[in-house]
Amino acid sequence: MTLDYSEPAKVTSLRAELRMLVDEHVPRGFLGAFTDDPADLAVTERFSRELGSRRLLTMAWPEEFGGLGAGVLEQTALREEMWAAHEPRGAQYMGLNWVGPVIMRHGTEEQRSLHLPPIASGEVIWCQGFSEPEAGSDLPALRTRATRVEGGWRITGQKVWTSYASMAQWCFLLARTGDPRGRKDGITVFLLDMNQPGVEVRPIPTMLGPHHLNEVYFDDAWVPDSGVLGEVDRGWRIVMDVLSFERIGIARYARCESLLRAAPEALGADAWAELPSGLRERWAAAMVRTRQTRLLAYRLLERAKSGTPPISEAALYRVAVTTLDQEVAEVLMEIVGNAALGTSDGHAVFVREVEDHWRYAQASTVASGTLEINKNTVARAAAGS
Amino acid sequence: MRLDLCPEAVEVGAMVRERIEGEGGVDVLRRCVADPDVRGAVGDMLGELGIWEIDISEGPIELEVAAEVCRAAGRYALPYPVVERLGATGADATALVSARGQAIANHRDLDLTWNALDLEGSRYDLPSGRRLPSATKLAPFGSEVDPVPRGDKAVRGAARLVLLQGWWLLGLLENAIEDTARYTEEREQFGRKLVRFQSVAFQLADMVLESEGSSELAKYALWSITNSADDDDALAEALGLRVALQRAAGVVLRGAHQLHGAMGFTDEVDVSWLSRASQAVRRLPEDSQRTTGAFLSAVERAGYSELGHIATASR
Ligand SMILES: Cc1cc2nc3c(=O)[nH]c(=O)nc-3n(C[C@H](O)[C@H](O)[C@H](O)COP(=O)(O)OP(=O)(O)OC[C@H]3O[C@@H](n4cnc5c(N)ncnc54)[C@H](O)[C@@H]3O)c2cc1C
Repeated sequence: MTLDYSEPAKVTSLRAELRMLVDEHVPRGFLGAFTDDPADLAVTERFSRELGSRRLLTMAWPEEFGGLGAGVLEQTALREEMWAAHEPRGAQYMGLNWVGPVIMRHGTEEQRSLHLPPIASGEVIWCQGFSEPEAGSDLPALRTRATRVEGGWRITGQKVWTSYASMAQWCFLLARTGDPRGRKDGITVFLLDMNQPGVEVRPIPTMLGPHHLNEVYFDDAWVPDSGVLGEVDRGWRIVMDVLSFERIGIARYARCESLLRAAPEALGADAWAELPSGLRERWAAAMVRTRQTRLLAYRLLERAKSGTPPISEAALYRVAVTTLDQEVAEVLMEIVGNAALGTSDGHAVFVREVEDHWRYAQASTVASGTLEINKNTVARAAAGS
Repeated sequence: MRLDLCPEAVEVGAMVRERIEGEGGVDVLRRCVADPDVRGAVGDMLGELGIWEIDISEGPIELEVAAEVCRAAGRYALPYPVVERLGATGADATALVSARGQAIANHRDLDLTWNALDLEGSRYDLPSGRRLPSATKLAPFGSEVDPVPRGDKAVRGAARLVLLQGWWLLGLLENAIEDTARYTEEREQFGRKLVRFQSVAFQLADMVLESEGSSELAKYALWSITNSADDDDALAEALGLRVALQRAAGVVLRGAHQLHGAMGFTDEVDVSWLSRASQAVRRLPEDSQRTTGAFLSAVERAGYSELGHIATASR
């Protein structure tokens, strides 16, 4: 067998189907769920249900869990098409990319049947309660406390930077059940119902847009014994799974590629020809970088076929894709000139996409593990330590 | 050789800083983003300090004073056209605009008489400015303008304006570095101060290098522009400073975000606002690729005057 990078016909037709659905259900100019316009959130809800009804949300899940058992390429095509369209699934991608798969792997029968169907049908939003004020990169420093009581657990503490918390029904929560200084030992994963009195969500205003990041306070919040995922005190293994799934989950390069490719036409032939040649050269080089990153993603997904992707490979891809995101954002901002700073032209969709992409890209090297932490992981693996 | 600004400049700069600090520092920006109509009061505040009496055409002392005022204003990304007013030629305020037509000018909606210059020194009338209906987070005070070419030039005026814009950005970057340095000293992860991690320390060092290097160049450019008889020389010098500051802004503000972690994007910390507010100044009238192009043309036209005794390599 020789090398083969051709795309199978069924993957190409899947892309066509997804593009058609996007055209039909996502308004032009849509920039994701985190805008000031509540209509954008509604778009993601409708779109997710539409995909859910076609079983396209969980396409990559095994058939026994309501998926289509699709291969790596289809799953990848789905991620690419969605991210290139500014992720019209909204918050759903988290449930699909990692919450679901991790519950499949570590959950009880009861947990699977409680949680997987609503994720599959796009009806539920999850948030990730990991980071705390004193536990960012140093996640094992987390202090949110879970205390055992009759029939379950009481949770007290604070999470921060929790994406989607204000809209989430469930939280995938890390809390300390063992020794407070136990670091990676003594952490337990809880599946916590957000709709209860002991949970308070406070939005954090940021340059990324409204209601993206939040603080979440737990004051004697309740989780029944059946809400413990995996073993008590042994949650760290699950965390590693989560981070690997999460870090490969987002095809950021797809939005880079679609914006780069759209640039010449969006600008118009004359304006394009008048760009400084150095800038067009950077554009061309960015296309190559995008391709490299995409190929790294494909290698990672291929290796991840039979289980959890290796954490160092996920970290390497993450370094590539987040720095790509920022590099491309810079090139695109310069290509559209000062128009991305604001325009009265209501039809200027492209420049607004570029501005949005630029702002979001700034956070990509921090979210779900910083660039520095990922580089450490890559370097240690390279040195075999 | 004298590498320090004159005492008058240092004194006025400190006074302006103190006054803005008294008004809340970067909070002034926060307030004006929430309500752009209160920007007029910022101009009045500086007026009370006598800032609008500074006339940079009077001589080197005035230019140094103006530069320090711009640096003090930039430190807090003060939402007022300080550079445009202090660097004005023939109007209350002179904006820098792109020669490529459709343009955005900061604060053009404010009630002042305006005109404009591009990076080659060509003059424009700037009849009006429309507040952008959907001002982005990156240019909350942007106005769309249609500059009308006048057919004449004010090359030295452009050099001074670009110079002052450089000093404004310098102040902003210095503040971002101070905040970031403080944060890496205060915040601990893994039981250590962030600055103890080499990758953090290296980034911080890169940031410091960019701003210190820019600061020395800003002083040199100021001196050179004052002392050169040739307008084209002066413009090349100013554009060179801008090239340096655009690079510096990239390194410094990227690092400021990165070393603050998620905190760096919140409305709570100043660096998040400084980063946003820097955008319009970094990218207007032209971003770094095109500014470098303008600098290249200037150097090809006028040369890049020698700083001293380094002999040109012989072939
Ligand atoms: C957009 C966005 C969405 C997020 N969503 C979620 C979410 O849904 N749920 C959740 O739990 N968290 C979420 N986070 C939080 C994210 O996981 C943390 O921001 C990240 O882990 C870094 O932690 P920190 O912000 O506290 O930065 P810190 O850990 O304080 O880091 C500050 C700086 O120090 C550096 N540093 C720290 N330690 C080291 C080291 N050992 N070596 C070298 N450098 C180091 C970092 O790289 C960084 O540059 C989100 C963050 C962002 C930006």
